[in-house]
Amino acid sequence: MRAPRMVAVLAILALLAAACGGGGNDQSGAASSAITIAIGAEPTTLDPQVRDDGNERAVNDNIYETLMARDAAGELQPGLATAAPTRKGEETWEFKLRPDIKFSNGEPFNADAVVASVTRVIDPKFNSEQASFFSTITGATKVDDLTVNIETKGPDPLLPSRMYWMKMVPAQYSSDAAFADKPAGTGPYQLKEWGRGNQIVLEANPNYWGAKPQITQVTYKFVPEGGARMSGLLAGEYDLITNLLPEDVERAPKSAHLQGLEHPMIILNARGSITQDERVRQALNYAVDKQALASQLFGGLAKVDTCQILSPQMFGYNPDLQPYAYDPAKAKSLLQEAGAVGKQIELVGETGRWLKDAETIQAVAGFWQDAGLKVKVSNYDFDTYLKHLFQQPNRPDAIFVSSSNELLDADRQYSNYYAEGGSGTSNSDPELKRLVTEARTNIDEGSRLQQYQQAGKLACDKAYFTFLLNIEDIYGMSERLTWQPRVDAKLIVSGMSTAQS
Amino acid sequence: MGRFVVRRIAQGLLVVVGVTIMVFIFTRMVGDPAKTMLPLSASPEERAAFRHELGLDRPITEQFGDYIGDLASGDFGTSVWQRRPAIDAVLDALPNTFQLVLLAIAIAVVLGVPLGVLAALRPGGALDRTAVVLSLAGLSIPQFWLGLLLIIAFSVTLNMLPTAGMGTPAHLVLPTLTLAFPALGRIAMIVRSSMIDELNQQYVKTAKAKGMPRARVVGFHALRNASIPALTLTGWELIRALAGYSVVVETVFAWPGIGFLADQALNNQDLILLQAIVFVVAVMVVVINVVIDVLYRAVDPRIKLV
Repeated sequence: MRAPRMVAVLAILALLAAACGGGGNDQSGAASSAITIAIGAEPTTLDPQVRDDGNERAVNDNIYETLMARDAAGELQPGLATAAPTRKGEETWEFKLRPDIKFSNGEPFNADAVVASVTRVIDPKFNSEQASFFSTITGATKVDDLTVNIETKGPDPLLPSRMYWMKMVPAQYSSDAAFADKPAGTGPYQLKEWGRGNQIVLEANPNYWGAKPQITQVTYKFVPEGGARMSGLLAGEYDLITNLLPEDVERAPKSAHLQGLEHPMIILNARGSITQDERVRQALNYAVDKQALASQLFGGLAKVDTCQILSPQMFGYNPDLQPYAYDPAKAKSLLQEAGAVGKQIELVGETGRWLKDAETIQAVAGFWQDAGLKVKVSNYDFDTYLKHLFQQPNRPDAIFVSSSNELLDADRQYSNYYAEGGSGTSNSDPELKRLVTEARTNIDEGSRLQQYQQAGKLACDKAYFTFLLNIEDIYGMSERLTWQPRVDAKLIVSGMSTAQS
Repeated sequence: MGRFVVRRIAQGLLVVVGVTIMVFIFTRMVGDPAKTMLPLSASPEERAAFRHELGLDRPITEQFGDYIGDLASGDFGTSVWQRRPAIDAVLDALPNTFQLVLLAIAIAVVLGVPLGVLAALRPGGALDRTAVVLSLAGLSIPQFWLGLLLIIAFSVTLNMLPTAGMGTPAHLVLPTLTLAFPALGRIAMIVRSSMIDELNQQYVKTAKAKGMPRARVVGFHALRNASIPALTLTGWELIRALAGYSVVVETVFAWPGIGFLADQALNNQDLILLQAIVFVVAVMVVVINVVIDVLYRAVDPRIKLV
């Protein structure tokens, strides 16, 4: 087609588009305090106790509240409770509740609501995907209208953190069939409209007990494809998108990033094969240039892990640990000493589940190869990959995993990956197991912290993992939006504001 | 004709049964939702309970028996991911796909047929060459890429159309064009070549010799015969768009139809929902095929119906 014709065709298309009403930019006027957020998929329910996925959370975190909350830096604070809970005996925590709070359907928030919320979410018949967060809780009892006891199986130091994850639902209405579509919470926002397949709109809750948010309306659009989210941001349709790719940071109108909770790492098998030798495991750590991974794969938006899979904001983080330096010569000599040079190591991975997973696995394999090993990378689909991850006897030599921790407490990761018996654990270290198991039920915060820090040091010294990176959460934002991302990656709209003209 | 229709429907039902069995087998091979749907930290007991809940711990023959029994009574099972009857999720998404696909195919036919006819009238002319290029482009440009190009041009650069989602007529424009483009090219090409054939037939020459106006010869006699292959192709384009291309286009534009739903069901390892989607799509494909066969006969009674 000759150029003038092409122009004509484009012009016709443009006219057709204009005739259809424009539509791209419906947020005109800087004074408007309505924003649009693009999330990965439409929530399948707005019942806050059923699912455990980011899309449901993105919306419900603004409608519902919890007894304990966290500030943007991750500090645990009272939410719907007036203060941190007090212990009443080995297995009971007592919460005092804020008075005069109502759910948006008019039901009071009181001890009955807390008992109903706890009983509902732990009921096996309810089959909540969040159950693993609350597995230690056995029940709740009303003491008076504003006092509730929560009971656990044995001492549970994590209970306050668990209650940061458990959303409070109204006692009566939560058993109504309409609840999943028409939510009623105590939070700063309430549902205005759910156009299935199209959008969810929240508006400010006029009766909210706390400070009034500046944003009066928020619209959620559902866009799974990263490129499409970025296009929408560039076209001015969205004010906030999540999971911006590091390479798109420059192109986005504005971006924000923050050291997040995600830790890609490699579990080394300390129970068999060549990785049984501590020197080999250490060599695998010295061999990898983690700084290069951070700067080249993640555009600098990742930090080298400090020899532990915890972020600094998490309880149990050990500030004294240092990463294994990049020292290829040392790696080679350690491998030589262990007689492992030229031997084969299998690195099991998957593709597409986590940001830059395949690239990270390839890069690590390259570094290991350079150190003198034969590396066989086995990239599986996620299901087959999980079979390898969860397989207890005959675990793979090395398996890539990315670990996150929404409770911000070492227990969740250490019991899974550090202590023998955990679904991702590849060591049989009795001392490590003792520390993690004892910390699990240790109510004394000081000694519990020490136990986790010791566990962290032990796992680092013994190199049970090839520690890699702590990835930052990256968000794309419109020019007019002001927001500081949160450590827990929650999209709390009451913490956002728009520029006013 | 009546016998023919009954026979076609019976054959269609057989196809649906075959597809149903295959879908059951394939979805069981996809993987274990108890692993992928629960968090990495879920305990083996939680996983076992989840499998039990879904009935995945029972012998495969038993699962199959129940599956067929439930299907026969119209029960497609409960979607694990959406936690509601799978068929409800499919029926919610279906109108959105129809809206997109029917509009796209209509555009392809309305623009493709005249383009093919005009191209055939002067083979080798400018219009003919344009049609050939368009059709080649339609065949060779991957749809996701075309979709992204349109987004960059009309949404990001010109800021005229929304990039994703549905709601206003403007939301329809880009996904419809993306879906219509390859079909338009193919329809134009088939109309062009069958038109060229028809125009060389003796009856056309006779009609012209008798002094029948050219427009009538081309538009009525020749086009009627040339439209038979185009009709089949249109049916195929419908099937292609419904059963395949909609997945790509709906994903690029976050258009909440069945293609988008299938993509998400797969990501969430929701076997029950996938089964329902494939079943419904299979039924649609069969129905479209039967309708096309019947239309075929209506357009050209010479066609033997077996």
